[in-house]
Amino acid sequence: MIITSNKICKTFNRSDTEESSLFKRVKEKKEAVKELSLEIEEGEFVGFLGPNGAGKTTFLKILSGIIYPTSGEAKVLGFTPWERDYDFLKSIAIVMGQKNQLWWDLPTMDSFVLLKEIYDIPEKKFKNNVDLMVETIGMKDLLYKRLRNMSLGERMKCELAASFLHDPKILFLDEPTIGLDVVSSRSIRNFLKKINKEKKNTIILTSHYMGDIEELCKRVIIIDKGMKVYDGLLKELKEKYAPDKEIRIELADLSEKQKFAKLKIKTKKIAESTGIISVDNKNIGEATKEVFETFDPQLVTIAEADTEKVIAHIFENKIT
Amino acid sequence: MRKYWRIIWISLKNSYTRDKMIPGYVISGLLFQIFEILVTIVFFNVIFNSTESLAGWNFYQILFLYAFSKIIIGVHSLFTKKGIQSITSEQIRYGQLDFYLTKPVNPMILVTISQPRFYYAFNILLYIGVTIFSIIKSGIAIGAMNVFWLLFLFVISIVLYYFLQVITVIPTFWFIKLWSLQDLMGKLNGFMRYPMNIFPSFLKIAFFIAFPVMATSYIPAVSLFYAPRASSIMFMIGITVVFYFITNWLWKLGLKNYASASS
Repeated sequence: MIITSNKICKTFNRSDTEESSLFKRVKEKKEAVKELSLEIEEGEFVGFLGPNGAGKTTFLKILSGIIYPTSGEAKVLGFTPWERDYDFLKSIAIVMGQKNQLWWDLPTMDSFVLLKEIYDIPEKKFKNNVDLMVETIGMKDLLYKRLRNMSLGERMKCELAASFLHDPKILFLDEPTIGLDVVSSRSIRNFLKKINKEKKNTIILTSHYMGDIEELCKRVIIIDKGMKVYDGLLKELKEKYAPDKEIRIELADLSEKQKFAKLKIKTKKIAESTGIISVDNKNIGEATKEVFETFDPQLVTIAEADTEKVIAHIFENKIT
Repeated sequence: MRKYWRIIWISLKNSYTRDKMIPGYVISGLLFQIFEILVTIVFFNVIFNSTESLAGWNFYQILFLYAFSKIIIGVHSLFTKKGIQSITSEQIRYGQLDFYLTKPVNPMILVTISQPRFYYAFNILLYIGVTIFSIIKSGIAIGAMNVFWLLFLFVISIVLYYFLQVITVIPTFWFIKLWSLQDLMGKLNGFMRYPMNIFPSFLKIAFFIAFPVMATSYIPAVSLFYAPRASSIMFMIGITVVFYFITNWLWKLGLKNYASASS
């Protein structure tokens, strides 16, 4: 295992803004992470999911050595992260979608050169990696542009490229596509896919965009209020918590709608000119048979469960 | 160590890239320094119209002490002042320290050298000029050994002054935003420009031993004008080592309390 954590807890002490005054501080405790244990194997691309304030970022910060846990143990590449051994720090990278680590007033290349010194990257490896980033992420025009003159998407490309310069074994990505448009998000995803395939890094990704998770991660870990509520394959998550599938039929005219109304299946509804049938895996065969016998197959589509709905369902129902 | 010098060198080059776009800032800074020197000379003249010496130091020796203290402050401003100030204003408050903590170098050094300001080099040159002028005009015979010990103790003083500066911002780990401590340090710099013996005992103990900002300029200056004393040199080395350990210990304690900032 490349990452293991055992009952990691993190409690923050904060001033209660309602109760505190200039001369009196009333402290309140917030448990951001509660007894979180997990294991991650080398080369895995793991999605870390949870609602806002679930403790995802806090946990990533503990695993990357930025903050100390209140209790518990963790080993990343055999190191205790918060001891910040230089060999450990040379083997990881963290990218946060809401913060810049590159120098704001400088052209990207100048920041890269500084990182080369910080990470002791040999000249040849540095050049090869910059070339690889330019080719994979298409950032040739960005190399000599100042960070402050870039769009959010361009900045994120540069941030990601910077994080790969020293060939990290583990990459922590905290909402790298936040605020990006569809094209930029897709470009970032494609880059991550390619680079993961080429370099075989272990990547842990937190994102609120299900598109990112579905496209990149086989395994997902869901946490809520600092506790793990699911750890397994995304496919199994869908099967377990969203057993229903949707059969959609285009209903062109009134006669089609009448035929739809006469179907024996009970869980059906019409939304505008689309007939929607929700059916569980057990009865899918029988239902599709009836639908195909009644309608032209070209008008019928069977949809997979919507991951976003599955996750929302888990958060709302607190499944453990 | 070489690695840190390379990082400083690249950071300085980057500082030049950034600041060459705003020459007005550099020129106004330099004019301000010239004005400050002139006001200080007028002020010293007023003092020396009433007395021949301050604790045995003549006008030019005092001018030297003033300019020498400004060189120490100038070196700090050139390399570390902005980085140290950023700890009190944004690094901890906005969680920007996160990225320094994930780099395989000492985060205290990295964050403090990350924002050098190259134009302070001009101020340093200006004050070097004032020190040379003061030495020549002081009329005191100065030997090669005096110059050697001055330069040796200057390096030690730079290191000690750096630790004192870092110590003043470490409480930010607990109080999140503490500009006032940096302001306080700015005021304490005033102790560096006068000979130690003009101060009462409690101030000597406070700012020569407990928080030895006074020692950073006074001991090297004494070594230049008078026969260098082994005890003073040992004191400077010893106290710098002590403050190295205190600063590192406090910094590590602060890091344990670092909570970053929400995303």
